[in-house]
Amino acid sequence: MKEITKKIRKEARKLLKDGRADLVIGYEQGSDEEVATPCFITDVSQVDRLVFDEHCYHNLAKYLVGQEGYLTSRFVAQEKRPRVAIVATPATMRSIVGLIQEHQFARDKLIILGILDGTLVGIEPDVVVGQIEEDQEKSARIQAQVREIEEMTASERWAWWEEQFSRCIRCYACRQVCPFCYCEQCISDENQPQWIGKSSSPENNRTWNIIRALHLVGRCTDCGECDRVCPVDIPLSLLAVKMAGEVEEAFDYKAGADVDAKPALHSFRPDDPDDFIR
Amino acid sequence: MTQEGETVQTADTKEQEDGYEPKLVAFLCKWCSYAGADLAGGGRIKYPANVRIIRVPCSCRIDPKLVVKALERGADGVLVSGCHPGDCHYTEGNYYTRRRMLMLFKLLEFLGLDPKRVQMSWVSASEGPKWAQVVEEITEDIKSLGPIST
Repeated sequence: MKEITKKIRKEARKLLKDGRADLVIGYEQGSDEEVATPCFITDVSQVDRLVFDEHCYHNLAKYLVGQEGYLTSRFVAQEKRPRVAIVATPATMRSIVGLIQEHQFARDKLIILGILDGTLVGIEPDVVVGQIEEDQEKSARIQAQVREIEEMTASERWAWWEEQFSRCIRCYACRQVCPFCYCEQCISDENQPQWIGKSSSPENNRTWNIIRALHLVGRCTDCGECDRVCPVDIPLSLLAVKMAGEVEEAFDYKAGADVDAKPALHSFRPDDPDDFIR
Repeated sequence: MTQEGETVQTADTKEQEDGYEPKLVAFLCKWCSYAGADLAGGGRIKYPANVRIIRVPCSCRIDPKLVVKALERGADGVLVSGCHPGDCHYTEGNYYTRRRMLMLFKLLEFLGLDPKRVQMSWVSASEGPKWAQVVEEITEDIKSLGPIST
């Protein structure tokens, strides 16, 4: 980890000094040693704030897109947008792949300081700054939980999810943290028509969570950020993993695996599964 | 027009008479399935009055949120219907629908909704009898399931 920090600082210093980048998005130490927090370095003198350790799990791709994103902000003229370098974990890189697939920005707008862990990322980082271990224990745990739910009866599943969603306080943290929720106006903020009721009632919570999950089908790269930030611990990763599995099975498509592929629900094959249709 | 005092039999009045009648919302593409339903009506083919038809320009117009919203607002079941593959008026709209709806159905099933409540069919403009049969079957399916327990 120390090595990675060193390499990141070295690369960041070089990029800023050479003027190849105006901004480096990375991690710095947070309020204590157990916390890392995203940081934004624009000056060579600040480069030593950058760190990398096991607490650096935030998906930094979020800062690139959307209304206030560095690469897409509509408040900043195109020629005034900074040239961005980003410290990217494998999850961040997969999100970047998805965003490029969806034409949010071009590959050459971004310098990726990539950290790899042997999992598939559909993009070549500009610089590989380090290797980390894949967290297999976590993904195995989520997979097991998905299977557990699949084995319940329909009414048990319904009751289980109702209980989970009933806790939702509609803080929209899941939306705010997701790099793929980059719409300028979220459907949940629309009033006419109001697709999703704003108060935190069982129906509204269910509708919100279903629609949120649907909007991420075939796009979600399962970085787990929504799950992590949820203040009431709704297991959103289960929906993500389940739907990623379905997309892969039905359409042979894996989000974040190929930057040149067309997103799953933006394309079709004439021989797609249709045995569910009357 | 009806005479004063006379009532038209709809799913709502039928429910008052015979107990539970499911509400089925059907989103139909205007080029095929809607015309198919029209043909069924024109041909005087009988099918349950439980279905409420909503005409859309193409099955591809049916955003999954429409289906979710219909269920939230009290529909007991939703049917999505469009042209057969290769017959889409806009060449390929129904292929996108097919992918989208499969994913919607899988998600709803995972959340515990009975897969019989949301269904999809291909009904062409000439398939009036098929339309009647589809509605018949789905209404039976949903009747046996009862209302959504919320």
